[in-house]
Amino acid sequence: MCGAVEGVRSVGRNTLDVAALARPAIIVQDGIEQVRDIAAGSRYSEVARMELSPGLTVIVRGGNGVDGGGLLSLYRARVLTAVLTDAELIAATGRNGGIRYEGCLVPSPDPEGKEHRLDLSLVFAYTFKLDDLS
Amino acid sequence: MKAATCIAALDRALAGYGQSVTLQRTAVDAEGAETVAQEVTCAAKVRTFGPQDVEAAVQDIQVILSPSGLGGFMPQKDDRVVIAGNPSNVAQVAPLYYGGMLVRLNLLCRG
Repeated sequence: MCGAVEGVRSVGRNTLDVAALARPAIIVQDGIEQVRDIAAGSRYSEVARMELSPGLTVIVRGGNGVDGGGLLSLYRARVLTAVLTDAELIAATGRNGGIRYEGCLVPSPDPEGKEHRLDLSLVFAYTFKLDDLS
Repeated sequence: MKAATCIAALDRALAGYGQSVTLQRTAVDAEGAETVAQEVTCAAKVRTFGPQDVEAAVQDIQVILSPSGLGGFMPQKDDRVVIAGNPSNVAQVAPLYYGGMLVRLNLLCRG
């Protein structure tokens, strides 16, 4: 889905950078999956509500008068809109789940650097059912 | 020894054991799409280090350049160096001066 975001040239998953260093790029790290709560009376690991927190990093290049911060804001808006309104993702989280935007972080840039990064934090809450694994 | 002697010695060495690389400076439009705004092809000594396997996807690369092959192009951080068709990013630029004259450029690249 990140690859379908307008303007994104390349997407990687669980990698440090994308092939040929194409920019703008998005790198998805699978991140953390952990239990949020368990239904009363259910056996542990049979049914639970989980939270999946992947890491999304947007990488753009600035320079020649183009502000890197402006590009980060542009792609922040596009990526969040794509994720938070995606019908398939919303359906996958189910009635007891949902997608939550938790904020973002722009790491300090390197001196004289042209590359800019933005780390987006999203949480996907969904119901884990043991039966779904088989 | 003079600075010109240093450069001539480096040029001879690069002609002997160097390889051709292309330095690129990119420009971006309002959407962040890149184009190559400036480029120069020159001889360089290339040494990779820190690869995790033989066909390493990402590795650190030391690139040594002579100022005589740059034609006025002065490498900057985050320029691209295309080595054997693979682009890498310039992470550090270390110029060496002799008697106030630029005689060599050591680049640390990653890609």
